[in-house]
Amino acid sequence: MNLIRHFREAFMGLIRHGAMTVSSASAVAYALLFVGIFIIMSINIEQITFSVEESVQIHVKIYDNFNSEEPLGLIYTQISEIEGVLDVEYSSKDDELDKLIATYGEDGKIFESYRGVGNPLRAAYLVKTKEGSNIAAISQRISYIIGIEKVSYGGTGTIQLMKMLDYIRTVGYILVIGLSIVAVFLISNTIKLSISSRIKEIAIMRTVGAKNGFIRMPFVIEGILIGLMGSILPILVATVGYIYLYEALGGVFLAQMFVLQSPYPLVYYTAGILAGIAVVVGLIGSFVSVTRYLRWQR
Amino acid sequence: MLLMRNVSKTYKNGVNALYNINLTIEQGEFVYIIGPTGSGKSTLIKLLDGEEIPTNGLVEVVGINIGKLRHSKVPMYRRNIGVVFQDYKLLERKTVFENVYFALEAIGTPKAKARQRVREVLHLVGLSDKMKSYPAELSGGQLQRTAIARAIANQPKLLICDEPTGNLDPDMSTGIMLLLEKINREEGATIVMVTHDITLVNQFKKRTVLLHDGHIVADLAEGGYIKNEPDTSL
Ligand SMILES: Nc1ncnc2c1ncn2[C@@H]1O[C@H](COP(=O)(O)OP(=O)(O)OP(=O)(O)O)[C@@H](O)[C@H]1O
Ligand SMILES: [Mg+2]
Repeated sequence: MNLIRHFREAFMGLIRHGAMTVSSASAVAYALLFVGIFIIMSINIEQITFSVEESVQIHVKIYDNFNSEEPLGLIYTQISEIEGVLDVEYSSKDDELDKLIATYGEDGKIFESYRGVGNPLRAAYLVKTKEGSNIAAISQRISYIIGIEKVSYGGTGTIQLMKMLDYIRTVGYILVIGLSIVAVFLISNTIKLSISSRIKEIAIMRTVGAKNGFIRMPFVIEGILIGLMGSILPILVATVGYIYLYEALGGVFLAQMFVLQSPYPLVYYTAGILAGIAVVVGLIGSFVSVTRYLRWQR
Repeated sequence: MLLMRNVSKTYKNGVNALYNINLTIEQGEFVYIIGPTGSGKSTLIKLLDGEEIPTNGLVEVVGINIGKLRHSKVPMYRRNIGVVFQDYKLLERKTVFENVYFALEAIGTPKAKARQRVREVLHLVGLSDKMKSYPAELSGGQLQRTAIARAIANQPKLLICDEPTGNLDPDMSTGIMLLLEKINREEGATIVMVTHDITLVNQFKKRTVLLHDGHIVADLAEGGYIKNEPDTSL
């Protein structure tokens, strides 16, 4: 019953300061629009780095005279003990030849003549690291181990890309937090205005003994409604936009290796997160304003 | 029901508004607080309704130590008291009925009960025929009756009035006094009334507490005109 009253009061507040409501809701919309784009990007980047990291491994060539059980065991232990190493896998001379043949497809058949005692390829250890970023340092350390002929890995380009994606993600997080704070601030200002137009009502409520929660409620609802109003457009843009983009690009980005996340349920999550942020931002913004006002006098 | 023991109040800016006030008021009493401007009358009222905290001493109303009341507990305490201001403090956009109803709604009184009580108090203050009027359509006396109706709607044990007749002509003032006496009698509310109006004090004789420069300089159980008082420019 009271809830109806609180909502009525909240709507009256929204309407009374129509211009302010619209401007702070649209500021919230800008902030959330960015947040929405960031969420979709971030989840896709997660996917991309995941698949890139899968493909990045260190290829450690072993001298032929170390390619026997005992020295191999020694090398294996030394590599495994390096910090950041996830997995070490042996690849025999024959395995290496198979891979070489496979990379050339049909034409690879000509390498079949290598098979046997005269195989010029080296046996190798394939090393996976826990993170892509420390691959260079680990390669360096492996190269110092006795019996290693050559260490190579998936190219600096890949690592640069991964570092860049990492960087984008960090900047994104900072921007999301920053923009949320700005949104909180804007809503809190709008609520301040709403409070100042009702100072007399609040004073009367306080003298007759209305509880703080009762006085606070309409303003908090007002703040949440402003937040939600601001989230409508970003939710539409993010969901419809991503579904459209996904269809238009055929589910991949730039190259076949960057497979985009399917829009469902990604867009639902995104809409949920945006609405959630809107509610929280509205709640905090209004709560701060009213509480500060109520604390100001007894 | 009301106890002030060794109460003093110094505002943050260093102004000493009250010194060592000792005052006891019993349930059902009707007491005037008089004194020249700046003597601390409003300050005393603010200590009673919990707006201000005493710098020293004890302020107790209906058994509650108001000086020690936490901010969040103030509202529940206020439900024991009613306050009437000189400037009425009515909401312009609400009718007489709505203004009184607003006070009951704010403390969560059920709708039907609140509506019934509003009609009851408006009848008591003699405004049954003005329920649908807006403040702009009322006389000063009617505005003050509305404010009084709102203050007593929740049946407070203590009714505090800060110059309730300050803006009214003598006829209207007399009407308000008769109403307050009726409330004191019929609703059993203890009344503490701050006033400048010495004519009223003489006409409706009641216990009278005289404040001067923050001190209680007289407490006359019989009430009436203050003799031998240097500052009677009240
Ligand atoms: N909020 C405040 N902060 C600082 N000083 C105050 C405050 N309120 C009142 N005072 C000072 O305290 C003293 C007593 O003021 P108070 O308002 O209690 O007087 P009063 O008797 O009600 O006067 P009046 O008859 O003019 O209403 C005055 O000197 C006043 O300036
Ligand atoms: Mg005063």
